[in-house]
Amino acid sequence: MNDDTLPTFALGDALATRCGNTLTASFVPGGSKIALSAYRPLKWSSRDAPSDSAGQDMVLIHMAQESSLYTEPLLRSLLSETNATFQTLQTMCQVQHGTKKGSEYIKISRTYRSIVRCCLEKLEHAKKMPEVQEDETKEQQYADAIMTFYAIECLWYLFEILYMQQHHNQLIVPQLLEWTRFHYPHTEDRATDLLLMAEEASEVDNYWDTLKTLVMLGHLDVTRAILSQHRKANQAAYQSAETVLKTMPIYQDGYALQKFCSQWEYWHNDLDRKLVSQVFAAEPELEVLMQLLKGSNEHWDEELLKSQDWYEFLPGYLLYTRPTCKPFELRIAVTNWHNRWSQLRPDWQMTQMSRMVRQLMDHDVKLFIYEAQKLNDSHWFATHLIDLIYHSGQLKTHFDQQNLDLPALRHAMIFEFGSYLMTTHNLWQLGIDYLDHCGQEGIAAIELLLPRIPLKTERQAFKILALAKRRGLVNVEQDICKVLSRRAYNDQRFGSALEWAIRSKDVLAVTAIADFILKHYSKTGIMLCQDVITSIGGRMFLSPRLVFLSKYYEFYEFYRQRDFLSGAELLINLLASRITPDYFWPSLLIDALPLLESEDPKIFSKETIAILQHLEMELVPLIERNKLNTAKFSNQTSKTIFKDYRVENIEEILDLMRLACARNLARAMIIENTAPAS
Amino acid sequence: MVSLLQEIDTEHEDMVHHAALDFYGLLLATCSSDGSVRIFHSRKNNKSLAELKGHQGPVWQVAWAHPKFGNILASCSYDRKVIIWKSTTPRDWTKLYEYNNHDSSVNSVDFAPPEYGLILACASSDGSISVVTCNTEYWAWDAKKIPNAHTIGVNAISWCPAQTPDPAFDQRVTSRTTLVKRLVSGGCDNLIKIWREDNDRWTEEHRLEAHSDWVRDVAWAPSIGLPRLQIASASQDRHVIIWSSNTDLSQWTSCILHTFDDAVWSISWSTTGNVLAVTGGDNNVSLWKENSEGQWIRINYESGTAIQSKQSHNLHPQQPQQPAHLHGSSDSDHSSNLSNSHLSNSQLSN
Repeated sequence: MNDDTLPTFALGDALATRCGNTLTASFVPGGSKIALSAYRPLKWSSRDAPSDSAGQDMVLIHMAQESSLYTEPLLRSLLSETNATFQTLQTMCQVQHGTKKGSEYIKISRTYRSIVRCCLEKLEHAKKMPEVQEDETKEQQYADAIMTFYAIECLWYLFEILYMQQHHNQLIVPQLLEWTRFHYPHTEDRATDLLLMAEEASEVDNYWDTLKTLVMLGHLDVTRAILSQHRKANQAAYQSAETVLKTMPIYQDGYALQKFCSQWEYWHNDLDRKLVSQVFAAEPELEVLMQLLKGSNEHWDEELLKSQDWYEFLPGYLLYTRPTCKPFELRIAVTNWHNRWSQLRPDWQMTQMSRMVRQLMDHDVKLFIYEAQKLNDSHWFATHLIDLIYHSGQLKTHFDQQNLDLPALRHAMIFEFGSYLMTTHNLWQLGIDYLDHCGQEGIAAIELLLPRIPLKTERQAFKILALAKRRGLVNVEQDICKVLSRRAYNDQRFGSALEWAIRSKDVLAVTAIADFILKHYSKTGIMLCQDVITSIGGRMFLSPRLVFLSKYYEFYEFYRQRDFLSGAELLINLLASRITPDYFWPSLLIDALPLLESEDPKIFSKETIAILQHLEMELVPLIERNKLNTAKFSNQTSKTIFKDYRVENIEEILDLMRLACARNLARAMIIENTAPAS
Repeated sequence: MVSLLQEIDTEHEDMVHHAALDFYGLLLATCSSDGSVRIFHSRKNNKSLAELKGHQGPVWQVAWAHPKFGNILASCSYDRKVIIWKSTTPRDWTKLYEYNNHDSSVNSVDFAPPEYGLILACASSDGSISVVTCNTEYWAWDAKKIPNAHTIGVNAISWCPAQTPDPAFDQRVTSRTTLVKRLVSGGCDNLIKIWREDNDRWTEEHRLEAHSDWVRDVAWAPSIGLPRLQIASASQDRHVIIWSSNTDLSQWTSCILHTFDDAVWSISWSTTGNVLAVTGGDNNVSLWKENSEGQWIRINYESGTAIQSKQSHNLHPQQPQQPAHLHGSSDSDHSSNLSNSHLSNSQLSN
């Protein structure tokens, strides 16, 4: 590749300039932005001292991004509408395999075009709004968008005429005429004015110019109508012109081609005869019109000098010279026409648009696609058109001959377009639909990009989670939950942290948060995020600590509701369960204290013995271990197991517990043994 | 066309050596010769949110951990230290851990893919690489060292993306299968080495030789589901080389991306690995991508004329000297987007 042709973008960072024009860049994760900053290769080998430039210039980071048209809400809606059409096309092709009717693809193609047209209309309207008129950059933005999409619509239409329709025997001149008329609407507007003016029209300055243009665009009916309103319409010359216009054969579907050709020949010869016999000599302007109708090169050349682009009058010329032109004959006609045009207008520069029109008419679709990727629409046009070509399969042989791997090209285009949308602020939801159609690579890209969408609100998080779930991206789902859990924990929203941790199925995280809640409770007596704990249900089996938390909470609830019997039962179960974390033993046993001290025994003798056993077997050794630890590291502020008031009074509490157990045992035994035998 | 969105005044007193954006691209961390690390909002032109002081020398590189571990940032410096910072809010940072088991400047740090846990790799001028692992249950840290990884020094380090076995080939294997950890390093011995962890030990798996001068930067490309992986390396010898592996990473082939006019210092992959940004002593930042034929092409924003809008890109007209350039955008007419034509010129000439 020739480096000279590469366009550059000057940044002009003062610091970068000072230290020898150097920059460094890195991609912004999950986005299409690049962060740029001045750079100097300074490493360990250099002396550690402030650099010469220290403190002289501002040290800047520049954020650069490829510009895009789609910052404008109107164009965003274009993207979302075309996204829907794209999806329709994909499902249509998945549903019915085998050969499909071309008409369905034409329908899709027209849908795309009508979306563009509709958007163009809205843009034109928006551009005229007073607030836009005042804002120059905004106006320029609209103008850019209109130009780009206008060109796209025009090219797409031409492509549809030439390549999407089944017209082996069909003639394309009428459709090409339609195409030029649509894209050069000004003449039609002027013609309407002339028609409304009726007789006075003939005095208007541009009367004949308009008529000539009308003829060259093939608007014969309108020409006739305007001429018939002319003051001299009754004169012989005008009458003959009327006849000529009226009798011109127009090909209609189902007509025998041979018959049409002979009729047309006859009409053409007749017109020629009339011109030679000076029928129109009295009216020179009218005669020019008739010469144009005859396809006189001399007269056409003269008019061509006024035309805007090379292809503007080509369909009209074909109408009067080769009305039966078939698609495959177009190429030759175009070459001749183009040579003629370049001779007439040697200084004229081909624009990209006129070049692309030429490529289409020359059947150089490959080059056309290459050029289409240079439009500043972020590949909107190329991607959708190639996808459509791929599905319709009509140009398959063409691409095979050209040695072009169409499926690979389509895949790459859709992948790029999808990644582009996905990395663009606010457009990611559209991008994901494109990446869905890129197989393994698309899924991988979604997996990389989806978790990087900033989780601004919970609602957005849920949306992203749903998208990940639908695609079976378990890792993405879990990572997002973990991030949210961590974030909630940092913000001290512990309920939310627990909820997300449970969703993430991260055992470590769940245990850590459950620990926090239990420790907090044993320290302060306040149970955090009760609503979340109530709703854990079956999910508690994720982590033993969570099971303990849920069960303990259940006990806590019984206790609060003064349902001491159920509470006592649960407490005994908890004591026996072996899932009690070390730090929670004191809390749990102290919770038993009031139950044991109750005048009316709540705990049976057997259970009381069990509590006593746990006390001696679990808590006492724990305290011993703990003492040992604190003795060993007496200077250390280690997190001992009882970091609260109970540490100092632990011996006292132990005694109290033993006492309470003994008393309850006594009471319980009396009642149990005196109960009437059943 | 490329547009400049904003400029962030880093307020650093001296050259910035590296700037890194967090996982979401929202927070920007910069590190400078002035020994500090600063944190910014990347989408606003605010003042810095925080200044992290702890190093006694130029800070070479910063790296963000995955947000599921919290807001964690690592920085490495000339002062032989690696500091891991933690924050609860973007303004409030504390030192979480300091690793100082290197005998010379630490040049590069990179966090492992989050699937492996919170693991940091550090490359030092003492020739060794450290892999520092954090047990996030107890926040306890443990380090393993690869001594003599590169003689004279290690300049850059990058992790291999965590690879999930291809479900198309292996239906039953779930992502629970133990993942093999791999690292790539580049050093002053002109070599690139690929390391792999086997039974808790790091061993040299491959040695890639193609550069003829110091390797300045290596970057493992994100994996996008293709049965191959790619590594980009940039060297003082003015080459950027793209290394591509086969499916099981047993073979690597090299392809010279381009010979630049000057030494190449840094390379950066886009998130999906489809674009590579190269910067070096030739004043340019150029963007490259691989086309569907496997050729590497410089992204070319060739101008078209369907639109005749002229826009000046001289953002700083007062600029007296030759300005630095970002290659890949147009200064005339308009251009296409970040991705280039998928048809190369050579394809057109068939």
